[in-house]
Amino acid sequence: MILEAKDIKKSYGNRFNRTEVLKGIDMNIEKGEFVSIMGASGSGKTTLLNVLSSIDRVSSGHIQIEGADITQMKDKQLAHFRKNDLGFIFQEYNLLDTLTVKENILLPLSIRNMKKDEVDRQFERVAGELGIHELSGKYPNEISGGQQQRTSAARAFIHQPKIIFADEPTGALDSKSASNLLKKLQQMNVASRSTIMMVTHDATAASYSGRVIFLKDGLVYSTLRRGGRPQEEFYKEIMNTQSVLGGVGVES
Amino acid sequence: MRNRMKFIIIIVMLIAIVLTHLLTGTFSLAPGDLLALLTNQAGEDVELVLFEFRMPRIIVTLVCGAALALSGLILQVISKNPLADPGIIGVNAGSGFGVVLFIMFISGSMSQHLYALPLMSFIGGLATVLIIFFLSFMGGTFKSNIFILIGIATAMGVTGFVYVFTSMFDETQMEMLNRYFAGNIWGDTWPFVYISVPYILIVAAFVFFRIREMGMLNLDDEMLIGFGMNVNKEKIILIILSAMLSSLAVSVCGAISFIGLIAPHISRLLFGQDMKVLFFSSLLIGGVLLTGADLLGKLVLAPTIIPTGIVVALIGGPYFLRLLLKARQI
Repeated sequence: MILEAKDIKKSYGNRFNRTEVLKGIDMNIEKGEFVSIMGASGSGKTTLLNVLSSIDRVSSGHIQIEGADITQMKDKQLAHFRKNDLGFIFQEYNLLDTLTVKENILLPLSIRNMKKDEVDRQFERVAGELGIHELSGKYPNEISGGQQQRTSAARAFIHQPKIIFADEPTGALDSKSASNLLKKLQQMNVASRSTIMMVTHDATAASYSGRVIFLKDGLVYSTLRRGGRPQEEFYKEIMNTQSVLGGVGVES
Repeated sequence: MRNRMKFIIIIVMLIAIVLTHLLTGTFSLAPGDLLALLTNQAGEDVELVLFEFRMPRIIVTLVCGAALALSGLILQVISKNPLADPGIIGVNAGSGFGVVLFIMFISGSMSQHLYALPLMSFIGGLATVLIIFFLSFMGGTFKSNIFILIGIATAMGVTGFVYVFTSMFDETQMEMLNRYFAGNIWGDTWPFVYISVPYILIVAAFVFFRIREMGMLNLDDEMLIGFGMNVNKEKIILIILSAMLSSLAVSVCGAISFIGLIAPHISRLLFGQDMKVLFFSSLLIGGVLLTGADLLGKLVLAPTIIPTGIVVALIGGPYFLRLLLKARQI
């Protein structure tokens, strides 16, 4: 087991006016899983991703990643942990316009002292897997949105993190670029056994993963597993659950 | 390559301004006098005017202009807001308050307390920024836009205090304060060069070694946190460096605003977003702007001298408005 969350709660606000966003969530994720989190806006899915990825702190509960309790870590330890063990993809591509695609991808490595041939080796690996060799010398404003997001994904994988957290990675992409990116993520998941956790409101995107967790009002509502089924069938089941949950399909 | 051309043009402008500065004023000099000076054949009066009056003033305006520009660039980077300026976040008001305290309690003749005035002004400016800084931490996490808002509010409050004190001032004291707020370059002798320029250069060198972090701050905070960067720490260090630069500058050259706003903005228009280029171009353009404003103030209504800060405000005000109007369109 790579990630284990026990009864995590998160609330915002002050003494007089508290909003409880997560109301006690338990979750186990195995190494090499590709998990999607779905739910209506306000269900707490992004908050869940933020606390699981240590960007935000829980109000109570425990999160263990490979046996280490990240809720007990000091800020400095956490920063070290994020640097080495986590990778992030957001809806915004978050690329620096002044750097080439290759330089952007290598940013996480530039913070640490890594030998140049090792850096090149890592770059070759992700560039090959994500198909961005021909882009490496270009600048972000010279490539398409889909290519930018693939660059962003490559950056998340470059330091071989234990878990990749993706928050609406396809949110700004057209459906073709989105499915292209998701296929790549799926390949990375299978080929390099990387664990991926993705928040999405899009049933198609979720159908690429192996397990979908639905949140409702800060609690886990249900879980679907793909098993050996074809993607089409899994997609239909996700859609059905979504319609039972209600109100999700119209979210932008 | 094109960037190099632009840099050359800016440097040529700077040299032209400096030379005009050296040659003009109540005591006009001919270009030949400069040559004579280089070959050690100049008269004593020429030497006196150039070395004792004009050189220190040029050095102070040049370096302070650059310091204000760099300070503004840092604030704009960390607040992700192109309208941030050290004047807006209370440095000038705080320095003014330091000056008021000086006039109230030390005052007398300036010659006896040569260093006391810039020192109080420096402490006032730095203290105000640090107070604003800790206030903006009260919510738990540091948010740059809240920092700017608290800065504006605090600057207002401090300015209010300044005027409460001035009600107790007599005419000479009032005049002294007005000279400060008009942005007269008062520290235009060598001692002021010695107490400001070396420190500004040292702080600027520290900033130079954080250029990479400044460039990365263009990314969302979550992303940087994800990279394992201690975003708050980086911002705190940069804010302190920025506050030191602007309070040092303001302490010797008076309440000058807008340079910190305009210089980085012009740099961005000319050179794009590359932080290393922006660092150097902001320094140069800040220097050009302040020495240029000082020169205009000297020449336009000669022999009357318009305070440099007023010239900057006359040019900077409309420019600031243009920025705001343009921002509304977007």
